[in-house]
Amino acid sequence: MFSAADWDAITLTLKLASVVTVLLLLIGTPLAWWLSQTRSVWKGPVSALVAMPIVLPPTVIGFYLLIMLGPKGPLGQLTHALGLGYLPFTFSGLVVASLFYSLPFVVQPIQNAIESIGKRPLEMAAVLRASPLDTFFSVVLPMAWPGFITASVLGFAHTVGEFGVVLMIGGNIPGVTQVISVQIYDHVEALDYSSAHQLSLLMLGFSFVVLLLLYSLRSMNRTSH
Amino acid sequence: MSIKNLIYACLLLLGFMPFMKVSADNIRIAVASNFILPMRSIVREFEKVTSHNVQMSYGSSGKFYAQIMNGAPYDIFLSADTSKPEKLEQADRIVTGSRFTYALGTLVLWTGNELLDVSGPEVISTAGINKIAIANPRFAPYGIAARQVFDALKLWPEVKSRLVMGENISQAYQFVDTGNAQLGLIALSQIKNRSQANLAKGWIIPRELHSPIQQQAVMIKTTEKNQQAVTSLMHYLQSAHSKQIIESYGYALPSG
Repeated sequence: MFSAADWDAITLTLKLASVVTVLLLLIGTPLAWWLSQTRSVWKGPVSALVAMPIVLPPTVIGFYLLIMLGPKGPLGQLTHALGLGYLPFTFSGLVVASLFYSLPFVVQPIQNAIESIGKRPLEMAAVLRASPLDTFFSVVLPMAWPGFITASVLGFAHTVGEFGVVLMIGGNIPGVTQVISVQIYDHVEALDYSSAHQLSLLMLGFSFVVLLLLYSLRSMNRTSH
Repeated sequence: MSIKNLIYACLLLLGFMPFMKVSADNIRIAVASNFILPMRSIVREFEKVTSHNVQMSYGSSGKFYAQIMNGAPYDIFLSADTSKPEKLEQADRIVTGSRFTYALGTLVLWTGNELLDVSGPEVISTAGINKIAIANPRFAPYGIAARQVFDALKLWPEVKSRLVMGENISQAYQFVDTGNAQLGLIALSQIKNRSQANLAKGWIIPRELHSPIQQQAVMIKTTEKNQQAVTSLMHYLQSAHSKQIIESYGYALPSG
């Protein structure tokens, strides 16, 4: 049903979303933990920065990343000096862009889950002289795991659904930056509507199943409490 | 001012709105990315000599085609090729006899790097050129022509792995302008009139190297009551003054 180029786009998209989700859990968890515990004056500004991709048009993120990561941009000069080359038009570039773009979808569910545990279990752990790391693994993780599941699912799904940013910095290279959403756009541009339909239906089904799983999980979790 | 007064003021303003409308008509046009700059000049002149308002949308011809087929409210479509206007004609979406070629596109090999000598095709094979931007050769008219140029120069196998593709010619320009691609095959109109220094950095592609980029305009069938205004803009596009503007941006004009 799908052409070889379509399959390439599908596997590339899944690879991108998986890598981004794992990295985001690693980056997002300490960030969410800090945001949930801190009384620092920086909490507001950092929360705002994390949430910005929700309201910013992807074109803004893509446009600035293209300039910042390119040879004339400070980040581009940094990656070049480190021997990493320039990131636009590469898979690593898409990963970096997606990290920015999907960050709030991972941080916020984890932060909410940690905050909903309340102060008491954490205070108890402190009384029992548990180290912060121990507290995290023996108290927070077991109690807040639905938040982590939600974060993973949303981070993954949001990366799969990314379009504007990839379009701006991807350069549409098959197997490297040509993800499903860009491939659909290409099919439409080339007036190949039947191929566009096939991939679009796949995305439609995927989004529905993901959200269905998410909501069933939530209601299961609610009834079990 | 109290909230109540503010509301009254707003209501008053709303009441006057119908009378504030000028007798001019609105014209909506869809313009292929490569023709943005010349069309802006033409529209500016047109709005000076008539009282009409022209709203321009920019994008790729393929997207506009899909939108028009699905009822997008454009009055005129300036495509970057002939195939989409022809298809619209076959689908009976255009005013009969309105399709004509308004310009022939010109490609230029261009760089954003002042140190690079881009006076001929030799630069493509020099060291350090690892990204070359073109419009997507699968559907973008300037991309198709770019592919023909590389084929004619027998460079296609060599450049293939170094290409980055913009969805339209604007994006190809963007990739070169930001320095992310060292070279690009873009439309001459995109760099013309920016600065003379820019032009010195490009190699204008000889027309023998690709089939002509014939750009056609059509008048879309609508139920709007602005037919006269739209027709006058279609005529203005073919006036001597417009032709002069089109040529000044590096396009050729169809013979006859």
